[in-house]
Amino acid sequence: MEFKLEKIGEVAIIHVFLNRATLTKAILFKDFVSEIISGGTVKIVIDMSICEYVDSTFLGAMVALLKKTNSLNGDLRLVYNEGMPSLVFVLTRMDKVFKVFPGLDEAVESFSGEKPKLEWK
Amino acid sequence: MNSSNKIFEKELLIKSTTDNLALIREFTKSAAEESGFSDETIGKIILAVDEACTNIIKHAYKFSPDGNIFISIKFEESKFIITITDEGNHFDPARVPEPDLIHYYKQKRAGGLGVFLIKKLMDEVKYSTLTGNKNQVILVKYLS
Repeated sequence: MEFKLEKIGEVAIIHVFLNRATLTKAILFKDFVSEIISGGTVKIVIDMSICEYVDSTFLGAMVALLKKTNSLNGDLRLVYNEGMPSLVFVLTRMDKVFKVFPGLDEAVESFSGEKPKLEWK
Repeated sequence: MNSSNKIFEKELLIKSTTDNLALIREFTKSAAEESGFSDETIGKIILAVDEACTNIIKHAYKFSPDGNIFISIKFEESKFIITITDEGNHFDPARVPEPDLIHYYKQKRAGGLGVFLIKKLMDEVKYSTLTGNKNQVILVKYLS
């Protein structure tokens, strides 16, 4: 199993069990998350803490999903290992587009309170 | 012999399946190590080649596993030259904008991140169309 869904209140956590998040799994990932969004959940946390590598195709899928949640007044937030960021994350300045958190608790808690709003840094 | 004085050329011909990306990365890594690049630069070169071949599989061959991808790596006079040739659909990089992720998010169309990354990672990138409906991209990294 590459992806696993966990719900905490209104927040859906998608655990990504891939060392390499790439082209080969990008469509599957997009379909998996799209179905959750279609089901009415628009507060999404993607747990990429075990991902060592993300390619541009997978990143593109995440951006498409981010746009989709934002258009529905939701958000898609990331948990990943900031100590060893993928080169793709760094080069694309991913943390300027996604809200990134070091741990799951912080990411889930960030959805409590005011409605999520994308802020350009 | 100083590593910058080395001269070599290696070639790899493989089919256009995503399963072969690991082999491509290993081939690239081995040649870059032999050339004397740092681990950090080797990582950048591998990523650029991986993204270029991913683009070929996705766009040139539309995920058909029967296409050919020919990779030649040449190292001479501190210049690491990777030439990647395919026989798939023509890919026009001029139509691909150069976004970072903020611009990528704001634009309506999808795609183009791979080309953006390749240009960021390498010192020179040149796309061309050859006779016989072949596409070629040449990636260059200088050993400083």
